[in-house]
Amino acid sequence: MLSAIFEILEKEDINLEWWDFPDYLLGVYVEVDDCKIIGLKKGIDKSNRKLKCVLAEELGHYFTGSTYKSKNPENYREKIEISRKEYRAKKWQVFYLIPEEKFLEAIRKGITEVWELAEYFDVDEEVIRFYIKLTRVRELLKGGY
Amino acid sequence: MTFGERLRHIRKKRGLSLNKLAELLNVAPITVSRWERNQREPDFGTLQKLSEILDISIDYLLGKEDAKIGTSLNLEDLSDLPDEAIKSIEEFIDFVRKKYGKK
Repeated sequence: MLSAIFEILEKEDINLEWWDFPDYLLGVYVEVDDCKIIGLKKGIDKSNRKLKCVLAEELGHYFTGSTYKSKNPENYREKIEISRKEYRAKKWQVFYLIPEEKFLEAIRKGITEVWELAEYFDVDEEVIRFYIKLTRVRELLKGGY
Repeated sequence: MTFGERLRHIRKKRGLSLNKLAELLNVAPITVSRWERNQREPDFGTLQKLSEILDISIDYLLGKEDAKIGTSLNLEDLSDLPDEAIKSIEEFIDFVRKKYGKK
């Protein structure tokens, strides 16, 4: 899965750099002067799972065009705008990491706990929690499996 | 990127066909195609409509935009970056601008 992500990075001409970001900042996607760069927090590569999740989220920013100016929001409207774009990138991330049919397959196998699903898909539990809250996924589950 | 290239890039990102975008703008598809090939330019009003439909700033379309970012955080609130993070991102942007940028 990680190699698939690296293939996308290569194909889309997105560069990777490592940086000393604060602990809670795992990655940043930057578009500047027509170049695309993903900055990753140093040390994150110690966990393949984390690296995969962060790269997928950054790719979400790229593929959905959800980017914004690098400054604090000046008003409530800007704040909402940033949240919306981060949400859109996250949504891309989770459906990339967990395609719907694969998710249903897991459920059918009786894998239903958050931690079990996280193990099964080799992603953070946070990704699973975000995923199962999405309307599209709830509808999917309602439809029977 | 030229105006036309940026327009095509973002139109595709939004999953809009050339015909669909033309329809939304109430112009002929050939007009959109000419913009994307840099043979014509849209007027101010159309530029504004383009920015609304594509959900992108006019600055971006005109190539006047500063660095744009997206983040991956370990924090619950996605919009409130601490100042320390903003500073760190700014430093990172300076670094990549020097390494990859034209300026």
